[in-house]
Amino acid sequence: MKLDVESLRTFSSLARSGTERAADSLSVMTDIPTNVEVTKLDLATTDDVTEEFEQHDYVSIQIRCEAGLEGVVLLTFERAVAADVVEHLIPESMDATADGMARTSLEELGNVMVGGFVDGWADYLGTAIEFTTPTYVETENPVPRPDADALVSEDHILVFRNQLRMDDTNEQFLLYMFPTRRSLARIRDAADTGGERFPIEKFATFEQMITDGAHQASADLTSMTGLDTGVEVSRLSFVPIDEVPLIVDDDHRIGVVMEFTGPLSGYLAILFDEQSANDVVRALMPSLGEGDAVDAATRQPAIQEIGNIMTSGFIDGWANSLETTIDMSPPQYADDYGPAILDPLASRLARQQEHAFLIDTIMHTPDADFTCEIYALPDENELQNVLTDLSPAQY
Amino acid sequence: MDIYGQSPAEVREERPDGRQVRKVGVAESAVSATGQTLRTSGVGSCLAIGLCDAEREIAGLGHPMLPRFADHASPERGKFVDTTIDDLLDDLAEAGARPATVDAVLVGGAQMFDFSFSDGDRESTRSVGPRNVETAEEHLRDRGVDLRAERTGGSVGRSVKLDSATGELTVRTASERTTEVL
Repeated sequence: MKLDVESLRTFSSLARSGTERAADSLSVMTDIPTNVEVTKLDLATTDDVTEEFEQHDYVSIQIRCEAGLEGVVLLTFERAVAADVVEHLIPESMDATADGMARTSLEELGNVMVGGFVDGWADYLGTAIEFTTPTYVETENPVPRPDADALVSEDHILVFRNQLRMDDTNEQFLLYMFPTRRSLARIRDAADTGGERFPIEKFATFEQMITDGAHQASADLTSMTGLDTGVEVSRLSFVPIDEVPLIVDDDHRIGVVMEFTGPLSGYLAILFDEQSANDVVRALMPSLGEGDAVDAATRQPAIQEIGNIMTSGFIDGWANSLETTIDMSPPQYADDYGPAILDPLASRLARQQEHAFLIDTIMHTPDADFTCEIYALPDENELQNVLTDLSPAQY
Repeated sequence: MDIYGQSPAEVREERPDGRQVRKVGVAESAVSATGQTLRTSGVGSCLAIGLCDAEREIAGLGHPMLPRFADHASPERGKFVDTTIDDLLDDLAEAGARPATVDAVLVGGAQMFDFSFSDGDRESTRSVGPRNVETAEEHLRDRGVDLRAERTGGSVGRSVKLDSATGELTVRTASERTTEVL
């Protein structure tokens, strides 16, 4: 299958407005004010999706859409969040802990939200979209798996991964849509602007390059600190530029940001939560004991040093794969709210582009006590040039 | 989509207590005449613009990213400082605020990082944060709105809570670990 960037913009806009309508439907039905935070279009393998579900204790409502927009929608909650939602759905006089009642109320919620989600798509396509009766799905039985007709290449799918947050409780949940290849092609053709179409394999090759870089950065982090980290997530997404700061939560992050330039330029942030940053500092400075406090003056040079090494690991492989040189600015220390660190990077790109290709990587230790996130934002036009130049041998 | 015969916005309007805290995202804005707290978090080089009519207990909060609408091809007015101010003033008036008693508070516009590594053109060598602040100050002056207070510039991120009933605006910083009420 081939896609152009303009059709990605169309998919993204439709997903945004659909998710806003779904959030409004939830707000009205439950009295829980709900905001749309991020509407991402991810390039993923079916295994990526399955793994994400296996790693969480999720409950989902599954609905299959037919006619104009074909595919599977999953409204997915962490189990504890689902329980909170159910309490709002069921009148006090009824037993919210009764399994059947809880499931039925969540299914009804799924029905209303998906009705909101598909409305905008139906308007755009000028056709009605039908959907099936909702069904309740738990992670282990079975793990939701996209259908074969969602494959856009041998092993990749495009997933709408929409993140919503409830105001009062600050709890987050997800609305996934796995569209079929045929549906995507129909919307692409309706949006046709004559832009260059790239075989999806080119995006997949680029995504593999990112994953290789993530594994190298993780290996470098492990060899420098002794912390046994592995890559949990490494993906290429397409996201509205103003949503980029919200891909991280409001918590405090410590790390580095830098700019890369060359045939592919853009911005990179390597971020740790406070505890993980202190773990890095203690690992790099053996004179500090496990319980010793880490002061800001000690932390900054240590984090800049690890940031420098991890950046090289992450980006050097890109330069090799693309047979070019990518220069990097010295890492600048960041110690602030997560979104405040990312907003200057997004604002720089927002001067020229409405959406961004976002590379996000999460690595952690097996117990998940230690976490590191890497976000990269390449220039949209330059990434298109890179895709144009990728030779068939590279994908 | 209409739900139970009404649009979600209508239903929400009838239910003023249903949304005590309302989050304003990047490139978004909101106005409240029902005592809600409006909040936006992690403001770096972006700007949080609070406009308040404390007499009538009506306030609005916007979170634009870039200075001027006319300098860009984007159709999204919420992304820009000048159009955010214009739209907030319109929404406040529609909600019953009196333009002469509206004042403003600005927060953010920090220069978080120095991105001079590759900058060649003059426009981009100046950080977007300070330009957001300048544009807001100038545009508020042009619109005849008093600037009551500002916590702008520097290199820290800020989070903002605006009590729409009192016009009291609380600013928090993560790196300096401070909280201040304006």
